[in-house]
Amino acid sequence: MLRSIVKSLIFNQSVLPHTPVGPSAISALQTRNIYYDRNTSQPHTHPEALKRYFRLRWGGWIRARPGFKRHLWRKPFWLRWWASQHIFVKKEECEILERMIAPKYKKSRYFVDDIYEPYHKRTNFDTCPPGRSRVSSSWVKTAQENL
Amino acid sequence: MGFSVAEKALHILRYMPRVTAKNSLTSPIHPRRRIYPRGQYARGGRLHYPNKHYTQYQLFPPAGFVNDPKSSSLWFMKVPVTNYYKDVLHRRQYPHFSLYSIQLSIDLGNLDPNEPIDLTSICRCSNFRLNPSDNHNGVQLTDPGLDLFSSQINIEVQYASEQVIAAIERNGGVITTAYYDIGSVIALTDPKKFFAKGEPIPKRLLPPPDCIDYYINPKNRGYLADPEEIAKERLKLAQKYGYTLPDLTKDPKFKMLSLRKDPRQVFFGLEPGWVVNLKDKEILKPVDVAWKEFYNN
Repeated sequence: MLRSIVKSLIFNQSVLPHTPVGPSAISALQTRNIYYDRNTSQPHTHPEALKRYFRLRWGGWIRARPGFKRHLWRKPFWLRWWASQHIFVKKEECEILERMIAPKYKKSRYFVDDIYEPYHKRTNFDTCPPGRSRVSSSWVKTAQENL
Repeated sequence: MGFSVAEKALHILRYMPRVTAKNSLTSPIHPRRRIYPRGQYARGGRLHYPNKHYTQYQLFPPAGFVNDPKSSSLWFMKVPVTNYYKDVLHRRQYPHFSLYSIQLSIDLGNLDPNEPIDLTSICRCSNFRLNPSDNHNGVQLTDPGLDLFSSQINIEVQYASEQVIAAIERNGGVITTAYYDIGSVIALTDPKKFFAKGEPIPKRLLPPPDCIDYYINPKNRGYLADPEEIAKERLKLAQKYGYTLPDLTKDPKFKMLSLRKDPRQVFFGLEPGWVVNLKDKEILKPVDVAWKEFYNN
């Protein structure tokens, strides 16, 4: 109860116009199946998803294009450039990935000379717009960091 | 020399292994019998009953599961492997602290510009959190609040970009980049907690090979660089960014601005090997020559 009140307060503070998303049956089902290890009680990570995707600090995910290192000999230079770029994951897939990877890997990390550092910040606003996924609370953390 | 055969045999026997329950053989009188499984484990157990499908357990399928046996590969397996998280858990982290937040905490009174600022005083600020167990090895200064920064400070951080160095030296300040190993970072983050342990102050280690070039370079104001070359680089940076470098020798704060830590020193005014007793308010120093040699070298 208290948590929902606090969440709604933070929602109202956002500068951007926001349409509140009510608790729907589908979103409630999606949030449920996070599985934990029986022995260690640690949340599961899918090892194959961990190799292929990268989570940004604001809750977005990036991946490489399929076939970016195949048939390079017959691709022209612009296609080679196009295939080499990393792209954002769809919103529906993001919601699944949030549940496939443990929060240990979703922590915000700060390295020196990090190539992903400019992409970790989504906008030049002080607060990040809240995401639709109820699993992720990354935008709350980013809002606190930028204050 | 001159031992009899019996003495030699006794000498060998003295060092032979003793007879214990571990190294003794099974008894021929009571040989170990095979234990047959009983109950549900007998005659192959539940091998004849196949495993349940996930739908028979009342569970939701795991995330990313595709209930389509015809699909050759899953949607997340079609993406090529790029190991983003390969060494993420093991790399040294340096949390951000902007020039804006330094100016803010000076204005609020959390940081004192009349004293040299190091990792301990930055950790006291409420808007900075450093957790050594998360592999946080220090602080890196970032550029937000570059233009509004206006205070003369003597600061020591672990990493700073070129424009940040220029912003501090434009106001007559001094910046050094220094390396601390994780043991001394733990001591620096919470000194009161560290002194309560009763351990001596650790010897600060030299930087590892992947970052030693950064701390030798006078362009980065490294703590292992030659001070004469740093003075030249200060002048070069002032010409590059177009500001007049103030003369520090005529400054009233010159004594504070020229304060630096020794490469083996962790705290200001304290040497490695000393034990600080907070309860009786006294400092215990090592007397033994071996300990003195260990901490001074």
